[in-house]
Amino acid sequence: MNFIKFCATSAALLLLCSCDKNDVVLAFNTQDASLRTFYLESSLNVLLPEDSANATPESMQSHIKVRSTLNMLVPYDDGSARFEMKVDSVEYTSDKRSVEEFRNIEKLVSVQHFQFKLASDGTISDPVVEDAEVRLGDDDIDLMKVFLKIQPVLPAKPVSIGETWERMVTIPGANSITTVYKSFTLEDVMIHDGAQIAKIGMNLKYKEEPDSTSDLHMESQGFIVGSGSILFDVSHGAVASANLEINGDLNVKDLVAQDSIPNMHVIQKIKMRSEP
Amino acid sequence: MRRPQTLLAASLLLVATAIAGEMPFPQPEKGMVRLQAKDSPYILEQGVVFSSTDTLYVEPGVTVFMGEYAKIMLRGPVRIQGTPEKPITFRSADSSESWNGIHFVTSSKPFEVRNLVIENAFRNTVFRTDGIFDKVKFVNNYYGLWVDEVSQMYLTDCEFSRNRFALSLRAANVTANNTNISNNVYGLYLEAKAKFNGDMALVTNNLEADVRNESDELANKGKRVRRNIWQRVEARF
Repeated sequence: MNFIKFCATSAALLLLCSCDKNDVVLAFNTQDASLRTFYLESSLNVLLPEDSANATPESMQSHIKVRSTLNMLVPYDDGSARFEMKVDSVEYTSDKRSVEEFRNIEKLVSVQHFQFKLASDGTISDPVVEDAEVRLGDDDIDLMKVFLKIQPVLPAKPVSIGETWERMVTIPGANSITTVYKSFTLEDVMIHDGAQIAKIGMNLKYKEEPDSTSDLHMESQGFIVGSGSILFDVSHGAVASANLEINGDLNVKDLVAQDSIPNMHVIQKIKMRSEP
Repeated sequence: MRRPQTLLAASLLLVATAIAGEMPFPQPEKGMVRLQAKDSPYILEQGVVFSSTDTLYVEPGVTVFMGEYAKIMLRGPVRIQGTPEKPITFRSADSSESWNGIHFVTSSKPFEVRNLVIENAFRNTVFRTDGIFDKVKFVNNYYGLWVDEVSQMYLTDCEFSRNRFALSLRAANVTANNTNISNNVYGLYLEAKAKFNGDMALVTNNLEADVRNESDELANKGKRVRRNIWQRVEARF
């Protein structure tokens, strides 16, 4: 019996020694998280440059800003919890739509309240729009998709500055699922307003695949890539702020018009901020 | 004990709303929603989706008031057939607010809609579905009717007035008979692969243009990306 105790104590000491005193445990609060207000913004700039195929350069710019409230609904025994993101207000503009269309999009997004299960490492599963009657069309903006792109995933073990970790996440779309490869680096740890804040660098890449059920095929030339940074509030187990810039080139094939539009360059900037 | 109380509360709410003058739009039950003239007017506050096995049956004379988030998505059989004396009306509850619209996505089951008035919607659509609108009035909508990927649709004795875009066609073949498209901002909006077979003399007196052809407009400006493509690229991000 004494030998077993000795072995157990030795193993515990070995584990403690292996964990550097500068290591940081990064985890979402999934047990007693209080309400947080989220501000999520996405700016999209799509460019078709002038080249041999295009006589005139063309572009589109749009911007959406959403204020929402994140509420923890129920904690689970496995350490995860179910959360609800409730949309409070929406502002939208685009140079390719009219003011009446802005208002219609704001209405559509304002009812896209969604729920998801969040593990303490940030893994999101079972994301679902609450109102089953909200069926997004081919040209409707999907708020949940924007949120899932910028939401970080955390390491499963304590990490020190400079350490990296990688995760694969899936983002559901109307008719398909996009697999996004995300990698993170812990860049710094600081104290701000009494809270421990971790600065995390984020890179992502994914491929835009054509949707076989649609008459408009969009396919990325190689990977769409993104980079940004996250300030993670370690003390409260929540993202304080995040920004992400995504770049990619699309080949678009309009099956109806039998027209191909290559080299559409897309730049998306996503910003997220949350406060108690 | 909770269930009878809940039922009682729901019944009281239903009775109270009915007494107040508007019957809540019923949800599909046993594959059917039947809107009866005796219970009219109805009110729909949110979206309702009819599955491919759900039938919408509306009696002549029924009026449905739509809240600003209201949307009707029809995937199943449709029987919306008013009479000249007792037309059916879908319009916004608050005339200063638009509602989302009515969407026909009945695919394999062609629809037949008669003597209907649709007012104040943002956009009414027919998508990948053939059918007939007979004596239907599209009034004061943003997109009166948007027809997309439809092999054959008929408009007979219909009227489009005070819409922003009265009739928009994309990859659609529409035959119009005695159909007036007048007093809108734009009459016909033709996108890629759109065919309109009808009396063009009845497409008249529209404020900005009787006919807009997107492909021609883009070509004149040396451009090639259609509005629909910009919007769908945006939606993918």
